[in-house]
Amino acid sequence: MASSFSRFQHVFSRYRPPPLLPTTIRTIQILATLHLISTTLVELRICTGFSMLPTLSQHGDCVVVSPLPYWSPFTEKHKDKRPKRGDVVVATSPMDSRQTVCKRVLGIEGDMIEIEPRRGGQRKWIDNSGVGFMVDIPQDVELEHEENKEKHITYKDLSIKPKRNGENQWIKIPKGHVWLVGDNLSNSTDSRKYGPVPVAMVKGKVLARIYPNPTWIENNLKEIDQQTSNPQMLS
Amino acid sequence: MSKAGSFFRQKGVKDAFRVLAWVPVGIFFTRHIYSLASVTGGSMQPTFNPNLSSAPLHHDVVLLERWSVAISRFRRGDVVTLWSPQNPELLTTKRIIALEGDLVNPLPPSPPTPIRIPPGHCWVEGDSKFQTRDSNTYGPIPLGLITSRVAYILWPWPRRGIIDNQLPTKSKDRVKSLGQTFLQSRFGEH
Repeated sequence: MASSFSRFQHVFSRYRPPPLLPTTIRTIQILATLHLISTTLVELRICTGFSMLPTLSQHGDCVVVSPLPYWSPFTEKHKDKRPKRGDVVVATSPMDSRQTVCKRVLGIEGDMIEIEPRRGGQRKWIDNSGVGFMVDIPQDVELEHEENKEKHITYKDLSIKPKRNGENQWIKIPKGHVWLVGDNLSNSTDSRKYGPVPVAMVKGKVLARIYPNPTWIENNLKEIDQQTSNPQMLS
Repeated sequence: MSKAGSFFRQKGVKDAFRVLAWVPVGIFFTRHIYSLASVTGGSMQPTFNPNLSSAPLHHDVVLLERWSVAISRFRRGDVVTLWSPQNPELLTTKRIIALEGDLVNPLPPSPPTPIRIPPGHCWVEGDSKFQTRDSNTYGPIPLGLITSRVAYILWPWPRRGIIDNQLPTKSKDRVKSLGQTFLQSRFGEH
């Protein structure tokens, strides 16, 4: 007994705590290096929330975020180094500067954007008493033909129903701003609420998802003819 | 001992690494704690570059206090640097006039209806008595654009000193905080 205790005593007496000052200095240097790498090269982030749902799940996906695609060696950045339409980006939240949001760039400066783009097909309406119900509206509601008035919901009915906030409202993205929208339009707090976001708030581009299902995150916007996309835009 | 190991054991290489290890610490310091900058232009004119017309090439050198933004401490009357909302490459200097929830009566370039500052935004204006490109032009700006607080004028030497936290006379009476507007709606104007 006494011998084992003396052995412990021996071990404790041999133990020296790590030298305090060099350890602290080395820790500070390592942390600063990691911070530099994460803010300038690449960073792993966890994105939670419902707003990007088909692309990123709500349980928290680990993604690679990098500011390098928007970095240029000159202070006067080139226009092609700005965020492009369809990029998934991480930006400082305009509602709270301590938080960041992950959204898709839908419009860049000079674009005309409809604030609430959901239309056509099945859509949810909320009547005056506050009850929500689904209505089927065909893509081409023909207003002139008398016989269609019996089959489909008429234009008059539509105009009586309360409209979505921001529907049919068009906005021109001002200089130096982008329009950020979540992929899950029905559950996303984005530019439709807080308006266009300055490019300086965009911190980096989301390049890939690492966990689960590692994939590259791509630009999934398709170009369509202006005339078929929305005739109202021309009028 | 391997070749690489002997390379890192050389005295000169060791010293070089010892110096290089401090570079990220320095970058962190200038990005998040304190850094220096020079102010050009006349939008903050009585405070910075007061005699710009006589010395157009003169720049004030100022100390930027970045940790106050890192802990998001914003106060009305602080002079801050922010990325211009219209040009993401341009860093500008303005004074915070109002924070979220305040009611501001804007100056001419914007319509004369009072504006309630939305959450996470602020209203910034230049000190100059002439028109400057500030929130009266581009509206309330998100706090995420603000990069630092301007704390101290270092150069020129005669004007050195702490920058006061005060609202300029032109903007003093145009701001009402949320509490003030609430009291007025309840008890009328006094």
